[in-house]
Amino acid sequence: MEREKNKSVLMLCILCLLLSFMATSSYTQETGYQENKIEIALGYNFLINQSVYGFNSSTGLELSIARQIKQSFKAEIGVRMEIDPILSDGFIRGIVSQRFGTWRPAIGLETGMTNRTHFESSTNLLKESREATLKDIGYSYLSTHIEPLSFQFKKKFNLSLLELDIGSHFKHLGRTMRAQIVLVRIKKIL
Amino acid sequence: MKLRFIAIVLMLISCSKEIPEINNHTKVLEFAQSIKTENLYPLVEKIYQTHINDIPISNEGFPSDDLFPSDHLTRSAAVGFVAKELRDMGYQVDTVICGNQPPIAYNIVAEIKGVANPNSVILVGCHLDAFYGGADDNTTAVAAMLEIARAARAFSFNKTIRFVAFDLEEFGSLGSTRYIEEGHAKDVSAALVMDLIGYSSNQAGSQKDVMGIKMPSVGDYLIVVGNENSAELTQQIVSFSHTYNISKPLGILAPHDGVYFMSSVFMRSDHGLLWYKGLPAVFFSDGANFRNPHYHKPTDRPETIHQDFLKNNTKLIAASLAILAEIQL
Repeated sequence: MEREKNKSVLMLCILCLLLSFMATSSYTQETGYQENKIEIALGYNFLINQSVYGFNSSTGLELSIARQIKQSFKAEIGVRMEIDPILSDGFIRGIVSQRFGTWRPAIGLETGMTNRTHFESSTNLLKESREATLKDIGYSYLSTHIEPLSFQFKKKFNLSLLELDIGSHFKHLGRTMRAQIVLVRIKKIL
Repeated sequence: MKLRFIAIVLMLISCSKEIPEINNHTKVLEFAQSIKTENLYPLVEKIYQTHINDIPISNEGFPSDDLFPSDHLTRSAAVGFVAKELRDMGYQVDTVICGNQPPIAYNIVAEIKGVANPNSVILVGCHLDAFYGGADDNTTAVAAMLEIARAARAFSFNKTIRFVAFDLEEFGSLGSTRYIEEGHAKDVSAALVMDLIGYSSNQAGSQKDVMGIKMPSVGDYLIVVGNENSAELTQQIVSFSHTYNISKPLGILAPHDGVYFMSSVFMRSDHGLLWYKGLPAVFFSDGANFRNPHYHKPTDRPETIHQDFLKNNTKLIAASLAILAEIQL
């Protein structure tokens, strides 16, 4: 039943993404996008993980590479690194965007593998409950991706602020919350 | 502005699911009525005294603050008291020792074997450790469990009933978590868990909203919490109580299985991991710190307990057990 529900949610997300893509494509007026162009991006993110008995937050660096597939659709792959301790995410995402002059807001869907869900605490309170409820949670996650303050300059650079990802571990979808803010991301269009 | 997650809480009165039939109403009521009022309050006083006269256990690794006075947790004398009471009733009592590092949990377990379906086990649980004297938290529930255990000796049930007094709930449900994780609950098919069931007030505003969930403000009701796996049972319990005017329950269903990052308030006792494991469990409480001003304080004393409230709640929990364990004619 849980698996069927997860499948339904995934299908719904994919459908939403396709509809967004189709809708956005049909309204695209600007022709500044260049298909097959590559973007390299470097960002700094703040990640929050919340489960029923645990909470943690961390910051990390994000490096990604994206390819413009259609006028308003691109696919992206990347990694995030937390420095202390060294933990990482690997992710892929599909993004649709719309250009309004310099402003280029975007939405998308991200999935990946993470080992940054480490609910450590300075006390033993609820430690064993937390471990018992998280031991089978797995590594894969699913999240939405929003770039509300993304700005492109001279078709060469893009500056994006306060990107927001809200998601959950794929197994037992909803038992954890994964909220990430990319504080700043700079993209170089090659 | 205070967030109110009313949408995720379903007051049972409005639920449209059909409530399953309860066979044997008369026998269920007879069992509930066999709870002796005169036994309950003296038990509360005795268990309270065992805590007050006990030496607090080490709280190393557990911080101490106003809501969590971990340096005042006692359990050792209560472990002995509960075991002796059950033994005196004629039960074979086991001490299930859980954990391999301090603090070790000593869970007290006693059973009545089911007649028709002994492999189906109904767990009745509450925690026996307490901050200070812990009259409401959780002496009321321990007293209720002991009185139900006493009353149950005179009846027969299709399913096996297992009474478990969990240790170290106040240190993060250590006793129940280890009990379940070490495989002692593999044969449990359903559970009733109690945590604070003796404090009520007729004053408006005495019941605070629970983490944004709007509650009736007069704190004179027993909160009965289920999840999707125990929804029908929760409905049965509330409906049965209304029909026969046993107690004043307020049924609440946690969203889905209750194990969500937003619903930790529903998981705050020994039923939490049972829910996680998918077992149907119903949780009974008077609202803890959202109602009782003596919660985790030295003032949590027997004279703050409302005896009729405790009595009626104990009867309702006894009736719930009789329904669940299928009391025999």
